[in-house]
Amino acid sequence: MAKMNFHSEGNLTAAFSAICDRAKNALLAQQHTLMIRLTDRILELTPVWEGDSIVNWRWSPDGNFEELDHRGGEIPTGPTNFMSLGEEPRRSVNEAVVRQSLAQALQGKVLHDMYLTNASDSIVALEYGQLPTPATSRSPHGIVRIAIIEIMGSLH
Amino acid sequence: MLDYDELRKVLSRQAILAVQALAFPCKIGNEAFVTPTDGSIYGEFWFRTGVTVAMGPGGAKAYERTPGLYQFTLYSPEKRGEGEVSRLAERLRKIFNRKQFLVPPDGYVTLGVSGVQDLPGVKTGHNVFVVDASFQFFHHDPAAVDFERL
Repeated sequence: MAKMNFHSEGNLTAAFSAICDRAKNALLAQQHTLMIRLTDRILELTPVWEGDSIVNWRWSPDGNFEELDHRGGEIPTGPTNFMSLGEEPRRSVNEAVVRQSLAQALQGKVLHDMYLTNASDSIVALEYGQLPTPATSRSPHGIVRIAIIEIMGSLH
Repeated sequence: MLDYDELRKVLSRQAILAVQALAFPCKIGNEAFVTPTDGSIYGEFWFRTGVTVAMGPGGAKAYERTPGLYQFTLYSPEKRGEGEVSRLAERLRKIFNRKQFLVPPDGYVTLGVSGVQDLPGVKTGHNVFVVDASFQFFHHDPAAVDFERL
């Protein structure tokens, strides 16, 4: 904001309105960048078995959602316990739903709070490294917590 | 000196001191650990670091900041009640809550607000309690070479 300045030769209202628009657009761009980076990082870190946990990540202005069933039920889950994050057969079809939600959220032109929610039954236990068991968890060291501090910590 | 190794030593030492003070079996990081089978409460401690960013302009000697998380996971066998494990969790929280530790050679780690949570719906035969917080690790390498002579 400190980099913004304006010059007026008479029409102060119009000049002030223009700089307000520029400030609003700069904040929106910043908000959108954060949302994209946060979504990417969280999707990267969320393990997929059937897809219930990952398909339920949702951006919205009110955070009010019911749990969704996973997509791609016809695709075999595969031996996901032996796969790295990213290789799972059902990942892309379920990630697509989340990216669609992000794309819709990014179309907003008005500055307001945005919420990232997950209504899945399993997401809390996954976050704390408890699923499928503590010994075999593929996300033993957090998903959202580390993503948030990484992304917010990278701001200057 | 190796910054991250020093961080590992500092956080592990604090965890070991806490575990000794509170006298419960706890797996520290990736060390060998035999899970108790006598129905006693046991725990696990780990920490992880995230992506490092520069704190401002400067060469290789300048300060950098690395975010991270620590977590104690406490397992209390079912039908043992919740009082004992929740008291243990809160004592751990008090030991780590908003603390700051020096990390040699001249870095420091600042722990955020620690919380105590019980995890509902985890089907491992235990009540699971979590004590965790994020932290920021500020570090720099005073021996780093800013400019290499070609």
